[in-house]
Amino acid sequence: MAKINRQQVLREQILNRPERYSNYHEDLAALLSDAMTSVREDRTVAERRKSLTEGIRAKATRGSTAGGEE
Amino acid sequence: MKLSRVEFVNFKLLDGVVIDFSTEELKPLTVIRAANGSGKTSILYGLAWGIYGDPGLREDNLRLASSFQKIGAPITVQVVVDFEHTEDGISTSYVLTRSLEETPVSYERVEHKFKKLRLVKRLSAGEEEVKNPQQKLNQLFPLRLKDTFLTDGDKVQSFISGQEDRKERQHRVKEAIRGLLGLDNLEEVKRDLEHLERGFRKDLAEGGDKKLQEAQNHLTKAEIELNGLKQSRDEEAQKRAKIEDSIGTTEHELSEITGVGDIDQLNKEAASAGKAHSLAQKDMASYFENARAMFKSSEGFSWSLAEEPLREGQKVLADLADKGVIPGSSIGVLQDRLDIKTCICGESLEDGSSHRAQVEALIEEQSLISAERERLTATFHRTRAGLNSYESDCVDKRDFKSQRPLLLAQHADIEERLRDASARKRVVDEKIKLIDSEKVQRLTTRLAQAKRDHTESSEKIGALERSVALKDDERIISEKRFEEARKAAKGDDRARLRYEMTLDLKEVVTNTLNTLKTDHVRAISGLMNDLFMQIVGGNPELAGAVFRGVEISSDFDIVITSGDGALLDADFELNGASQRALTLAFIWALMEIADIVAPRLIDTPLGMTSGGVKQRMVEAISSPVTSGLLDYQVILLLTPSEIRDIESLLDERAGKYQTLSCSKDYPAELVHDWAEGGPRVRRCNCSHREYCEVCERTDDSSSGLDRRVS
Repeated sequence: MAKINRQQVLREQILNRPERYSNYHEDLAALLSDAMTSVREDRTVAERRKSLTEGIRAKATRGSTAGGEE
Repeated sequence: MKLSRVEFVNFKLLDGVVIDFSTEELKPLTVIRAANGSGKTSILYGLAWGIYGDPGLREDNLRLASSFQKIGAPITVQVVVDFEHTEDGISTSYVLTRSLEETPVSYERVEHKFKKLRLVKRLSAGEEEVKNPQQKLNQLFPLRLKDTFLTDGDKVQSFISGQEDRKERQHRVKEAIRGLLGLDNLEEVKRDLEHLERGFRKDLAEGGDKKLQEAQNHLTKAEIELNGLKQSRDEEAQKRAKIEDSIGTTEHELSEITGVGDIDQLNKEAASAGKAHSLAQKDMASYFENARAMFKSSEGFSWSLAEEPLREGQKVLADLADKGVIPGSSIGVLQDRLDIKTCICGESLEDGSSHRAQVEALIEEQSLISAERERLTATFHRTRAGLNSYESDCVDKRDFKSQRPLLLAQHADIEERLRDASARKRVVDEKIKLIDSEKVQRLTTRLAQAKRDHTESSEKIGALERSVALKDDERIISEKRFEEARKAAKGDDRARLRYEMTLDLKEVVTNTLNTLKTDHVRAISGLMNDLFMQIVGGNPELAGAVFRGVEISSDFDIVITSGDGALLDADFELNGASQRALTLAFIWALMEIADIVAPRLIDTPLGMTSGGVKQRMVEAISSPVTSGLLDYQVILLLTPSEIRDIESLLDERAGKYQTLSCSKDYPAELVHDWAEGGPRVRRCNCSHREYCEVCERTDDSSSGLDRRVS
């Protein structure tokens, strides 16, 4: 049976993205998980976007300093 | 999540009633048996209120406690729900307590005070209060999926048929699919990422060269213009949707009037009924004339009335004739004897003799009665001739008795025609009265205007669609130029990574959305079809099969195809059992494919079903959870008649069962009187095969149920 597992679909899509630095896919998964949680928790648009911006900034900073770009 | 237990305090007639739910994988079914009016729907509403509060019910401030509660007397209403939620393989128990104080202020109105909601997480280390309980509950039991979790059997068909129009049904199907697949949340995240993308791109361009900045400016401008066009298009589409609603409403109003009938047609019908009435009246007049003529022109009517006494008289006269009393001829003989002056006996009848005097006295005496004899003789002959003629008429069925039923039938027929024509005329006249010709005119004008507006709006949307397509091409070119410039430019690695990371996230979400909207809606459609065909017992391969299949169309309508390929109307061409089967198949397929573990509670799911369909429906919706199947829970609130014929299946599938009884049913239906005070509902542990001191009904002992030994 073609059961939907949304997490599985998201995981597959994440793995289809290039690994821009080491553990990049894990970072994408964590960012998406946080973004989804923010929506589920009914946080305001401004709050959600601020939080997501900060998350991406933090991870990009760590990723760029790790120098693991492919 | 799965429900473990619920306790109701003063909710409707449920006071101190506890229901335990099966959470077993091999026996996922909980059966709650209750006759009509014994609390099934209160369980459904009580759970809806417990989980969602007022939004779970159809309106705010509804009476929650018993309607027997005295005016001015406050009462605490409480629902406590125990449930388990599994996330990432970890199962957590929660206890939800919702309560308020209700005071009836009149027969119609109640006041609610002291509303409280508490959600406690049970951990091995103890209990932990959830800080924002309603928010958490909204995550666990999204309100818009309420009808999927808690389904009223009588409204179960609303996904496919019923009072709602096609658009509303499509909306409900779409909402259910979107909700269970979580599409809205993903689209929200996508919008957030698009916003971030523009911000990070701007940052990136600001740190790059002039070419990159120009490309960024062009791209941003194209995006802004594109969004503006899209917004205009969407606004116009909304406007058109409103126009379509207005057209629908106007057409509906007109069709209601058309349902009464077109005025010209009605006038024709009125004229036809009037003509039929006149004709019948004419025939009635003609009938009376004929009947009168018949009475006048023959003795038939008199014969029919006088036949019996006449026959008796005729018999008497015949006797007299037999005895020679009539016709009388003695006077002539005696006169002869006087003339020849010799008596029959030989005595002399000379003038002056005493014998002659005796004969002369005898002649005088006889002459006195001869007039009577003549009359009797004449009557005898006339009656005999009349009776002979009457008998001849009877043989030819020309007599009144034979003619009477024919006359009566003719009269009844004309009378019926008169009645029919009058009734037809009355109905048509009533319809004509109902038609407000001004309203028809007004609606027709409004409809014509709405159709013109619709055409105009469609043209605008078409033009906007073309502009959007052109602008999107421009945006794609700008995006390509920006990408080229970005790759060529040197700049801040972090800014570049932020931007790329955002693009990747957006791509992940967009592709996931596309997959969910296409592949998985198809999967739901396929599974729904399998379940439906399994329940209704249809085999599309068989010649003469009633159904070929069901599917969810691209515009989210549930489409049913008949065995010969025709599209069936769910409202008019699908029986109640098949409608229920289809809706349950949809809900089951949706939850299965969406991989959501949630309770599926259905009140009276088997109404209108019987025999094989009933059996297969329960089989399909209560299958044990085996490998590959989604863990789930199904709670069926069943009446005793719904349970009939599926007892063995319930034995096999039910992990928990209980029975509800309402004291108001004593003594008409309940055998025992256990109520104290006003009516209330009690739960007992009887299965669908048992009865006890609480639930025993008047026909239980004779219907094959066993007394439960506690």
